[in-house]
Amino acid sequence: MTQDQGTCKNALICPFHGWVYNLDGTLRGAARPDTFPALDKDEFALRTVEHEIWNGFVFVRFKEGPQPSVKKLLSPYEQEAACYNIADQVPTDGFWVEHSPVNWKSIRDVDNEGYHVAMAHPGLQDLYGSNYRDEPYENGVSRSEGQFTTSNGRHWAVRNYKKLSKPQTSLPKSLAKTWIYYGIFPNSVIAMTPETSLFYQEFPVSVGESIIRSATYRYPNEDRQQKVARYLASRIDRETVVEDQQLTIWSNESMLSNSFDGFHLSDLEYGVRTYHDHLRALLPVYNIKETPNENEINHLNFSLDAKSA
Amino acid sequence: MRHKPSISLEFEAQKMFLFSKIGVPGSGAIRYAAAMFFYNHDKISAEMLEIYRRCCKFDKEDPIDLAQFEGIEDIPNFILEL
Repeated sequence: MTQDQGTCKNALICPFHGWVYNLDGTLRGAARPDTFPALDKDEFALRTVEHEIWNGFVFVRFKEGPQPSVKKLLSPYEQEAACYNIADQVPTDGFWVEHSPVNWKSIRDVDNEGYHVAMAHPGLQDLYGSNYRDEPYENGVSRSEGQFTTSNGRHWAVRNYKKLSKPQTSLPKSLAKTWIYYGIFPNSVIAMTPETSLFYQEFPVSVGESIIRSATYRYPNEDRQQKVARYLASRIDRETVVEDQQLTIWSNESMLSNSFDGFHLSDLEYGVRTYHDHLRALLPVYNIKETPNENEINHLNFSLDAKSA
Repeated sequence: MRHKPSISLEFEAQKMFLFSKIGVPGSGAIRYAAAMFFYNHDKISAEMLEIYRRCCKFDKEDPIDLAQFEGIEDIPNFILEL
């Protein structure tokens, strides 16, 4: 369990003293069992963590929250997601992890609207530009899609990607030339392209620092053309990530300025507004105009919650 | 409901784990976990289990060699016979 990857063939072993746990978490035995009384395998089992598998993605939750199950959350997209056979896909190049000197919500804000695409993402604009559309966050999820435009593509990677993209036969025509994104409140996105599926998510480290984590999966039976298309898609995506990271840094810097007086949202940015509506509903302290001290936040949330109840 | 494998099938599976090829990455831990299973079924001694624990993180270390080196006398036949 201390390894980044691998399989536990037979049991889980604590690397400290060597207690052995069965794969269902029950205790198989303590190291030097002769020095212990009989230990009940259930009483001394590993603690159970709430978890759920959705199309091969494993979700864990250390503390129960107000969100329903992932299956229920993503039920509006169940049929569509099934077309991608995500659970059969295999990892491409492991996990990508990066620290970013921004508040985690800034990352989500940039990702939750397509208003900035024409200005900030020449590659994506070239790929699906005017065909991009997103839906507001509703009941904890949002969906965005970018259907490839019919132009040949001005950028080298986009031009060749459009030429070589070759969807799996399982994909219906409507998804064959489309990138799809499912936003899961509060910090995750699962995306599908004709060649891959992927996820990315943000974790707050502190008010001003976040970790971004991502992984991409491919079909195990991809042919050479699909492999090249996947490479080209990753190039387009990689440029987009760099561009978005810069935007989040600028956005964070702007909020620190004395001149900052809030954001003015376009009608096209309903994704941002509805996302923050979700946060406001969960965290009453969000509705206070003045920034409270960090050590007051819990208490304030609690008292505001009690008032509204 | 998941069916538990019969005890004889479980014995066979754990035997296979116990005799995992020396040197294969992770095999030291696999052997130790299997040894714990056989200890629980009174097939190996606490002393022998401790040998497997010592080899747990060293995939290239053969527990039977180590047991013989340490002069352990009660190495079970079902281990020695292989």
